[in-house]
Amino acid sequence: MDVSVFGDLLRPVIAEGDLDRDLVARFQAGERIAFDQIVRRHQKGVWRIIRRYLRDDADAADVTQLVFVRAFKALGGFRGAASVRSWLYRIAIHAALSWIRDHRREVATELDDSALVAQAVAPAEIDRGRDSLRLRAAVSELPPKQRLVLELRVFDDLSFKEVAELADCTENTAKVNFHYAVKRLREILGGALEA
Amino acid sequence: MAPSKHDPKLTDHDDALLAAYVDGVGELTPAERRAVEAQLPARGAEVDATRDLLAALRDLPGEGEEPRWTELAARISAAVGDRVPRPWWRRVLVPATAALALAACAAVYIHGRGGDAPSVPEAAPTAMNAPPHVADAAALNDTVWLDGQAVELGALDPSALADLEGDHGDDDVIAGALLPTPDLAWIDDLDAAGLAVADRWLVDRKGT
Repeated sequence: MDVSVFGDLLRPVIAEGDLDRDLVARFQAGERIAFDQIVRRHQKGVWRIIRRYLRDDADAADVTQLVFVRAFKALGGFRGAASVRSWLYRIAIHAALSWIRDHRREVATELDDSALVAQAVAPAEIDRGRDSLRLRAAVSELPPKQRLVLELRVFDDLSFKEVAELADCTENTAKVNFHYAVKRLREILGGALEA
Repeated sequence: MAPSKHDPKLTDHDDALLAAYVDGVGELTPAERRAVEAQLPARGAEVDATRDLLAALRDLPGEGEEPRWTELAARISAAVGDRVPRPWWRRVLVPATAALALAACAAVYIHGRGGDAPSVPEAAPTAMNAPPHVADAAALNDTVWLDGQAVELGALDPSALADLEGDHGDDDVIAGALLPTPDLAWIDDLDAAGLAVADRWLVDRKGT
């Protein structure tokens, strides 16, 4: 088998993972500054995931801070079974869901407001903007598991292995869910994007 | 002929890997890749539509306004503090290991001392059976090893010492055959002529 074909595709993922593992090892050896580097590398991704759940920028920043505080306390016991990124994202998803549970009424109100704003802005947007709204609306109609897999893969650029770790399924199941998510989106959108 | 979607060799699982193939061929196993590639000629339109949809999704602008990352990182850094926390099992494991090591050292030390202490009642027979040695210099002042017995000099009867001094074993027998040792005083009374006679007698004696 000629694996060299995939070498270039896989190398960046492996190198990133090695860097994260090195930072974790340094942190576990007592080097506090290594944690700051982990924050700088992953805070954007963590914030984006949380923002998708919370729909509020400031709240997403607060929960992002909470996620890294939890990670700081737990990183000493990190064994490396999962990638650092998917480990952080798992904490982020749990923190976001906890926050929603604790602030359910507020979130419901804010979601209604944001929907109104989106509808109000849409007529003034160009076609591309309308396509964006349609796409996001279609994604929100997906079954939860398919939506999670699709978002982690497309918006967070995770490997199928990492997606599987976060979605609590096998890598094959993640691939299959991804396929059916795409297929379902095409059915929802019909020819909307091409129109 | 290209295999169709209903090719009996293809499973539902193979059929459902097309999007994963389009989005990340490097993440499929060789077997999965071969299975999907066998379907490609019949699924060209689906491949194109999938590719377009994924590109559109990735082109979506990010939701919300991103925070100032430097400020957020500084907030996080201030919130966690400067001290690197250790997990509970490391906090427990290190002191426990140290305590075990200390206990092991103590046990070895006590065992080493304990091995000497019970030998006190056995010390006498051991010393009696062992050959004399010079390690205990102080003991030599009071005790000597004589004929397989430890002899306390301080407690010894002077007459016993005289007996011991007279007992020279086989060496005395040999010496007695050469000279009459009890009568050695007469040598002091010899004059020059007597010494000459004695010398000749000794020479004659050696010659025989």
